[in-house]
Amino acid sequence: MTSSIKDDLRSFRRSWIHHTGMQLATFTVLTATFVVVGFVLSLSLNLNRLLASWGDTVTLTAYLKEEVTTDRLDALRTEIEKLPIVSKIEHTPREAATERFKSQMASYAPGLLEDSDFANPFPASLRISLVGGVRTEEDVKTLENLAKQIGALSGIEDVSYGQSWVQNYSGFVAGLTTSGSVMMFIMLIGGLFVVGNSIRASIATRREEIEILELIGATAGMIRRPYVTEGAFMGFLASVTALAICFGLHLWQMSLLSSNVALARIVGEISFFGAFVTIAFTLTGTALGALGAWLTIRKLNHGWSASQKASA
Amino acid sequence: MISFSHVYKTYAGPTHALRDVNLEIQKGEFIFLTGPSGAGKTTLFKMISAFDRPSSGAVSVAGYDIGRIDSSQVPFFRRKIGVIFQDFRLLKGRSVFENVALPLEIRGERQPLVERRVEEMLENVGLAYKRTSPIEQLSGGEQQRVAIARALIHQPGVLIADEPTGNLDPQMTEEIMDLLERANAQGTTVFVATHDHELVKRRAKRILGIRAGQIKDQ
Repeated sequence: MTSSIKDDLRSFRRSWIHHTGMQLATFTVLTATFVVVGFVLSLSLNLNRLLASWGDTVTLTAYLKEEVTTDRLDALRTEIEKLPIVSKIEHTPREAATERFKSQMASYAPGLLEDSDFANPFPASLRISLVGGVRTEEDVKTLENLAKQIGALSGIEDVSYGQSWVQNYSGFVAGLTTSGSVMMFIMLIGGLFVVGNSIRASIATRREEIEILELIGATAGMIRRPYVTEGAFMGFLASVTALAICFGLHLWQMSLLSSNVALARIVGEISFFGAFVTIAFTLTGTALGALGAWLTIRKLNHGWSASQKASA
Repeated sequence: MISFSHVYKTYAGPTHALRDVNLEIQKGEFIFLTGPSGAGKTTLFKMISAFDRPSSGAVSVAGYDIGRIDSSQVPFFRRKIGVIFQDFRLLKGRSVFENVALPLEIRGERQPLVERRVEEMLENVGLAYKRTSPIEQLSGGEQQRVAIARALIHQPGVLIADEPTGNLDPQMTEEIMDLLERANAQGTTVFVATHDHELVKRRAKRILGIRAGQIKDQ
């Protein structure tokens, strides 16, 4: 009777029948906790993915001095190609830079395209793409070092990579990851207490049963197991329900984004949890339920252990 | 089988529940323990079943030193004894069969053996026809017979019974006592606490009296 999962399931069922209100409250609070954790996790993963895709577009522009000759340009390209994390180099002559500027400004200053007196203020440049883009603080440091190395080369006037944007971006990614982790940690600790309280109530109403089991020689492990299993079942049910709710929220969020023209293009970048995260989320919820129950019941000591304490 | 040597038990207060108790019970004996409420019967039984330990002195039951037994060994010690209470202490919401089978299942016995032993035991206590009945549907006498079956199913060396007939009518009392005597005849040491002096007189067994925490052979 105390030796199979089937019996533990029966015990879980009995708890639901005898303490429906308490079990329902625990299930609701735990599910709500997991929904918040799932939502924060989903937000964090998607924002990281979105920011990573933006980080992939970061390029470094090296502006050339006016006196750089074609031979020196070729030599520069060779020297830069040898540097780490450089994936592609694109040369933009002065004229091309001017043309690009004119076409970009056409809507604001239509006459600019035909203005033959427009003096060319733009230097020639090399646009350098990076392997793996910029995603972390470490990538930012590598980018800064690369910029210094390129800036020190003969024939380079200046190097630009949107320094302040990159630094803000990496800080934002780091902040998001840290605050998301802290929030999820706090929520999970709260979840432990919720399960613990439910198990404590279950123990209080089944105290006689525990005493009977002790009386006929059940070990502490045998007595604890149904409660730990009960916590695990509760954690499993709550995490699966929370995943279903989070999926519903995800679909709703996607429909909102799709209906907004300005935001529609990021829809492709947003996705729900993959198989790994889904399984990990469910396992974590189950383990959290079991842990909450175990922490509550581990000090179960009627009879002998209690008498030892009382007499000590 | 059961031995108390200069045993004292003092609770906070201080309350002296047992005072210099000396006791020797041999294997196969049937003993009645009588005394008024608060005399120390329950403390004595709690000590025999390792739910309490002596403040001083030595208690030995079925080869275990109760004063020194490690808490991890207590469950294994309890599997060598059987205990019956006035209030039956059966698991509600479970059947007669499930309650009686519990000690064997806790010992990890195989299911065919469990079924065979439980069937035999239910035949012995006259409850085979109620094997699937929920405990709540049984009368007081039937519940006590289930409790006896559960206490004897694993063939313990010692059976202790704390007021086993306290809630039963005279006829049922005799039936329960007959069951305990049959267990005793098969070699189990039986130790029964009771208020019922008439019952004690009728059965003509060794009698211990307890008063204010002290025991006297009568």
